[in-house]
Order: sequence, then C-alpha cells, then structure tokens
Amino acid sequence: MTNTYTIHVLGNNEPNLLPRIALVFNRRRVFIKNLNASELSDKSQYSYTLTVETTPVWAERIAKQLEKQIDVQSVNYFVHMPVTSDRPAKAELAYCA
Amino acid sequence: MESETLNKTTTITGAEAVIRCLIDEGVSTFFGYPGGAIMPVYDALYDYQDKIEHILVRHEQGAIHAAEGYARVSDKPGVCMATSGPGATNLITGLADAIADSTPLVCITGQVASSLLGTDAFQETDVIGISTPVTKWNCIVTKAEDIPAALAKAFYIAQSGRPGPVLVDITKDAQFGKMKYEYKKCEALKHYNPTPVLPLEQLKQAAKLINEAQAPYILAGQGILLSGAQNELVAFAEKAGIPVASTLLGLSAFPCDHPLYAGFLGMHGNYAPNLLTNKCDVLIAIGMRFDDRVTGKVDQYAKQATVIHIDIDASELNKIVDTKLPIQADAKEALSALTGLVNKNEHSEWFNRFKAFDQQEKEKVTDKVLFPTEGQLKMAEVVHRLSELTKGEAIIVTDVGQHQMVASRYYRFKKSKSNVTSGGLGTMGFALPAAFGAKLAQPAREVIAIIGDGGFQMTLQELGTIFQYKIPVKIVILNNNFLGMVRQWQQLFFEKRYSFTEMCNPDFVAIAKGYKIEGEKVEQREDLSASLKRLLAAQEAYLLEVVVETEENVFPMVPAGASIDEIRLE
Repeated sequence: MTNTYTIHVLGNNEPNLLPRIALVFNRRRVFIKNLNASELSDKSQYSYTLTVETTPVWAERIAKQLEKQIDVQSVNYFVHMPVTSDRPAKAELAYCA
Repeated sequence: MESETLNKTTTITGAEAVIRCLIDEGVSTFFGYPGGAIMPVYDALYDYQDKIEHILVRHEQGAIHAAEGYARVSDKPGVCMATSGPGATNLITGLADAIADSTPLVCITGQVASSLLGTDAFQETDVIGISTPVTKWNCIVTKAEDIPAALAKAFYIAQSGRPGPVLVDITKDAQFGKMKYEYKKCEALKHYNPTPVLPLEQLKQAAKLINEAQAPYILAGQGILLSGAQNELVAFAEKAGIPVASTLLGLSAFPCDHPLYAGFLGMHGNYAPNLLTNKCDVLIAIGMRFDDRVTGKVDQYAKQATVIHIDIDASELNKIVDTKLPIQADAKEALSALTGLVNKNEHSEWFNRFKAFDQQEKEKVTDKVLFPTEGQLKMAEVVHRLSELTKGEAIIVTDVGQHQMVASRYYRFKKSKSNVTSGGLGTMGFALPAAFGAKLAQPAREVIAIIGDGGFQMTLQELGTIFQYKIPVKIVILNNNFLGMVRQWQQLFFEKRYSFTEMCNPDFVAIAKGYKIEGEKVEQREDLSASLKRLLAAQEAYLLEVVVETEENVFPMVPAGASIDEIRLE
C-alpha cells in the first residue's frame, strides 16, 4: 500500500547535493511529485522538502539512503494521513522519523 | 624539488599542490593516464618522480581497477588520475565497481578551464554529473587554493566508515593558478559520523540470543576485512563455538582450514552453508549485505532464524532481510565486545549437520572436479593444484564468471586480504589490472590473477603496463573458448541455445610474448603441475594458458530466483 510522504532533508550548502538527493529517488523509481529547495538564513545550510508517493518500507529505505549522503545533516519524513471526523485536519501529517 | 623547502609562505601552482597533497597523504604509488586537461599536474609530477611512483597504464579503466587491487590488499586507499572527457568517463566502470564493493579510492580528474564549463568544449563532460551515482562523494574544484582542502576531504571520506570511491574534478585554470600551499589532513567533518557509537545494550541482547541458541550460524562478509576484525572473528567463533560461512568478498577473512569454517555462501557456494542457512536458529550476519546471490529467493530465506545483523552502514540494516536485532557498529569493535559477553560453548551436533552435507557435496561434485582421471582439464583441478603449491598463501585475483566461482570454491585461503575479485558489479576485465595493483601494494606476496578467456580480452592491453614496470604478477588464463557462465545458463535455462557465447580466441602466449612476458600453454593433465611450478618459480611476470573443458558447468548452483533450499548438486 502506498502513502504520500513529505520528506525533509537538511543539508550543507553544496551544489551537488540536490542531484544526489534526486538520484536516491530516481534509482528506486520513486517519482518526486513536489520539490522545494531553499537556502536558509544560515547560508551554509540548505533545506529540501520533497513529496513522494511510496510504501512505508521504501520510505524508510529512502530516508536511510538520504541520511548516508555526506552533506546531509538530517532527514525527517512524514506520512500524509487522510482527514476523518476522528482525525482533525491539524493532525494530517503524522511524524515518522 | 625538496619537500622540506616548502612552507606556508611558498607559492606553488594548483597542479603542484595536487602532487604535494598526495605525498602528504602518504600516497606512495598511484595509477593514471595523462591528457590535455590534466597536463599541468603531470608536468608538476615530472619533478616529484623520486618521491611518488606513478604507474602509466594503457587505459583509464586499467588505472582504476589497479587502484582497486592496490586498496583491497593494503590498508591504504587506491589513487588514480585521468584527464577530462573520455579519460574521466573511462573511470566510471571502476567507480561503480568500487562503490558496490566498498573499496576506498581517490580519483582525480582534470577538467577544462572553468570558463569553458557547460560550453561543449573539447573533452568537456559533466564528470560530476556522470559520477554522482557511483561515488560516495565528489566535487569540482575551480580555484587553486581550494585543492588541498578538497583532497584532504576526499581521502577522509574514501577511507572512513563504509569505504568507497570519491572523485575530485579539477579545472585546468585551478591547476595553473597559484596558491600558498598548506596541507591539513581531514580528521572529521561536521554532520558526518562514520564510526557509530558501540551500542552495548544491543550487543548484550545479541549475546543473550547467541547464548541461548542451539544452532547459531555466522555469515562473515567483507566488513570483517575492512575493519581489520579477522582475529576478533576467530576469537568470537571459537569461544561461542559457532560455524562461520563466508560471502564472496568475505573470503580470506576466516581461514579456510579452521575447524569452524563452514564454507562459501552464494549461488555457486558450498552445499551445507547454503542449505543450513535455512535451518539455523540464530543467524549472525557481520559486515555483509545479504546480496541476492547469497539469499536466493528472499521470502524463503532464513525465515526460521532470529537474525542479528551487524554492519557499519545503517542503510544496510533491514534493507533485504527482516532483522530482529539490527546493530550499527564497526565489526571489530562489535566482535570484540561480543566475545566478552558470550558464554564458552560448542555446538557439535549442529556442526555435524554441516559435515553430513559436506560429504554429499564431496561425493557428487568435489571429488569429480578435483581429481578427474580422464577428459580435458577442469578448472577446479587447476585451482586446487595452485592452492596446494602456494599453501593457500597467495593473493588470488579473479575476474568474473565460472573461473571466479571455481577459484572462490577451491582456493583454500589461509591468509587474510588474499581474495581480490569484482563482487557486486561483476566487472569482466577487472582481474588483470587489479592483480598488478595488488602486487605493487604487496610486493613480497605471490599475486596470481586467475582469469577467463573472455575477461582477459577486455583489459589485456594492461600487459603493457606489467611489461613496462616489470611487475612480477602471475597470470593464469582458464580458457574454455566460451563465455562460460553465460553458456552454462544458456544450457540450463535457455534450452542450450548458445547465443553468441562461443569465442574464437587468439594465441594468448604469443600475445604475452609480444609484451616480452614469458608464457606457456598447457592442455594435458600430466603437464599441469610442472607448468604451475614454472609459473610460480618465475621471477618475473608469467602467463599460463590452461585449456580447460569446453562445456563444464559449475555446481552446486542455486538457480536464479530459487530458494537456497533448491541448491542443485548436479
């Protein structure tokens, strides 16, 4: 079963990090539905936010692969949960790692 | 050019800084091939030939495989150098090979001047883009003053944690630029933690599982060799009384003549170690990654076992096999701690089960291929005789295919770091350059390349390098005039339709002699021992072509996609 995940990567401001991150997904045929990359106020850091659809197993594997990239500082990912009457909209994102 | 004369105020070119960095990093030998965009570095090298040895190969792929061979038998990274464009792209296979097999390499490529980047200039290629998927890390340097820091970082990353290849691409203007040279070795990087803290609590849990196990089983991978944990593995296995099987790249981490050695895992591995993976109760995998050639059909792999997996790379844990106790740790540290935690034990009943299957393999396979009395020579008897004559103490470098599996099965490794092969990527053409790289790293040891006729012809131009530098490497070509492993599969799984696997081969001995390398060809069983003795007695490089059975198959075999339970003896 696939879910929609938001994956947040905090990395060093290194020009080749973006392609390295993209390759982690492409190699596993997990398509990036949305990508935002931005320099932070601390200019030595870069933030990447990606939205993908994949399985829980692959989300974890991808997070581990991202974590081992040399210029990656941290990886967090969240699964999108459907909004239901007993699950309010503000809890739409569930923390995974 | 005396190094002592250089100090922090000395201004040198970026090109000279490259060479200085290599020397300051302790590099004594590296491999390369010059060309336009790396010419300033080669010009600087001209003045440093008494301080660092450069081996001019015949093709950049030869340089990187030689660097791999060098790294695999030493405690140092392999270093190679190439020019831009095709020089750099010729390194790609080696990079892919090295990242698959966790081989520490530092590759330096020249690049066109920074003003020409992205203009499709002559020999300009996006080397960083091309090499990104097959490097642990890479970077481009466009300023001379950035060269020392980039190379220091490269050496650190290549060797730390799970080793791997790195590439530094240096533009020509950076090579020509002037800078004040100062080199500081990199010893840490922010946010990069290559050596995990030893998880003692998990190791205690592991020890408890091991102490309670009736049929524990160790799978040893190359991580043992990479962390230098050979002695720790022996001590752990002996104290806990656990049989040890080896992956392809783990071969030589545990002596083949040790009573607890169970054998070689994988598609063409030994019968008992494969079968009993599905019978053990606690599986202790150390420094290995559950490659598909080891697991066979994963959903039928070791399902009965409680799996403990120790690896330095967190991304390997739970990647393939569901693991009860994933432990991210350096193998040497983990084994040392575990040995203190486990009880002294022996599992003779469990180990006897291996012996029963070993006997079946001996009768149905081994005796037939090691001691045939008629027909053409078999690969196995050649390797077996070589193993006897060298007392299992040589460094064996193999290519890819049937000969590789046969060498892995029948060479009885007694010394660690003695098996050099292309495992993960399966690169034909690897062995010849890797063998002379290994010989340059370990000149006192006998280095023997065992190669098939197909793979030999992929990099045979490196005979020129062996000839030029008089590298006394021994070469055994097991010639069946076929791409043997593909032919075996065609026979077994494609109704014997031998589609483009038969080879019309040249006179290999004549080719060797063209490079002034002595050689001979042997076809008869009664001549084999004498030929091998001449090979080993030679003081210089020597090539022995052994004509072996044309359509021999390697058994046992786990058919692709089958469970390891379905391993076939014939």
